[in-house]
Amino acid sequence: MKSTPALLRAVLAAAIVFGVLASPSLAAQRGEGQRVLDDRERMLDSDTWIYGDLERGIQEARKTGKPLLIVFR
Amino acid sequence: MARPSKDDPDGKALLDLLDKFVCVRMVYANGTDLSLFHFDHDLTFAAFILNADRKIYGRYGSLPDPRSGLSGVSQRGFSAALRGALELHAGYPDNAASFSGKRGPKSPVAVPEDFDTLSAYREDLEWSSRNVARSCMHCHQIGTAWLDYHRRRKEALPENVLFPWPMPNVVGLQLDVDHSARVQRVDTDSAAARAGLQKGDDIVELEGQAILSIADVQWVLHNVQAATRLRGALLRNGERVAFTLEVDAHFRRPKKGLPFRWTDRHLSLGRVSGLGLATTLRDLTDEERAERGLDRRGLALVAAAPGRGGGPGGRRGGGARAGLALQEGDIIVALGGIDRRMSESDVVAFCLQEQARAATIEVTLLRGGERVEVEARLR
Repeated sequence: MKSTPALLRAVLAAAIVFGVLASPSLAAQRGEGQRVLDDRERMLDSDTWIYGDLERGIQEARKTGKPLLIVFR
Repeated sequence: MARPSKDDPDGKALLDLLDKFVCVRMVYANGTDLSLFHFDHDLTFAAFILNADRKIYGRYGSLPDPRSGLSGVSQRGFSAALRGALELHAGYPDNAASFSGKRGPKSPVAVPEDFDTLSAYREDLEWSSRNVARSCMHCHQIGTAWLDYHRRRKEALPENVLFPWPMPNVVGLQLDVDHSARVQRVDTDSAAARAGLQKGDDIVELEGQAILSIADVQWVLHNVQAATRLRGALLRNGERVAFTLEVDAHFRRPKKGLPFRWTDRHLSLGRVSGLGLATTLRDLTDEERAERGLDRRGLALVAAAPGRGGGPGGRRGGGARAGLALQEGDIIVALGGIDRRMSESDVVAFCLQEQARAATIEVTLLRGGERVEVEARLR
């Protein structure tokens, strides 16, 4: 069948194009995800910062009498 | 703002101050209490200073204006805000009533995930998944969701959704980023000049609210919905001086061009208005109007060359696909039957407020000297 090689070529070409386009995006997402996880791990060890837990911060402020600083970053 | 260091005097001062606070860092917007946390969603650094009773003392963080070279934050300015907050905290609860204005109105949606456009997000991130980044909602997405919220309901966009968090320069004030709210410059013939503000003044109160930062001034301006007189107090040579700042209903709209924050892809002119204008619009000068025999009080916005990316000034507006296909040199002289003089910002506001429920809008153009009527589709 004449159409099969043409179809295969089209599928292969589409796969290559998709691969080229998709790879950097997926890699970027993996990189960003790792950065989020790394940042979280570092902040969870911090003596200064409570990470992503407003209620814990409020409880801590009530206990210590200190004001709260909430940073969205 | 650079990461503070103990080796640097400003950094050390800031780090010492942080010890006096319970510090919470939020790196994602998922689950944010929208009735408590009203802030500029375009910021990459936004700080709230409050107490355990959720009484807000102040905000910190302002958007740098790339056009003016204005930096939004500094270690010294941040320290000044924190010192001010400690003073307020020392006076609590006797001063509790003075913080009511610091908190905004109750939000119609409790958390961002309640917006239709953000409903795919969950309250927490998918920490155990490699999709953790994709599950993380960014603050700017909340700003965009507010626009969509009103547009989907075909409601007129409030001024403070369309032109949010105006910098003090809209009233002619340049504030020093290294202080709480110290006046660095007052523009001549501005609302600030008419209020008698001077270089070196420290604004300490506005509309009954203690001012700790430039963001606190922005908060007051952000909430102005109509022409009004804002009452404030400043310190000048150690003396407290009262002032009144008079603003009109559209004080926050740029006189030329669009707000710099609209250069963000999500807030491009084409997206928010649906007009799909592929060019910037410039108000013809009085001289240019005289040459063309056009009224000085009438609408006369000329389409400039398209910017990079097919959108106005590099913004991705959607171009002709979205509706109105303007050509360079076209002059819009009427819009929806209105022919009064308007700026580019006024035109967008007109479409999104007065024409919020309309599906199309009549546009009258001058093209090559001929009058052309076209119908543009509004999304």
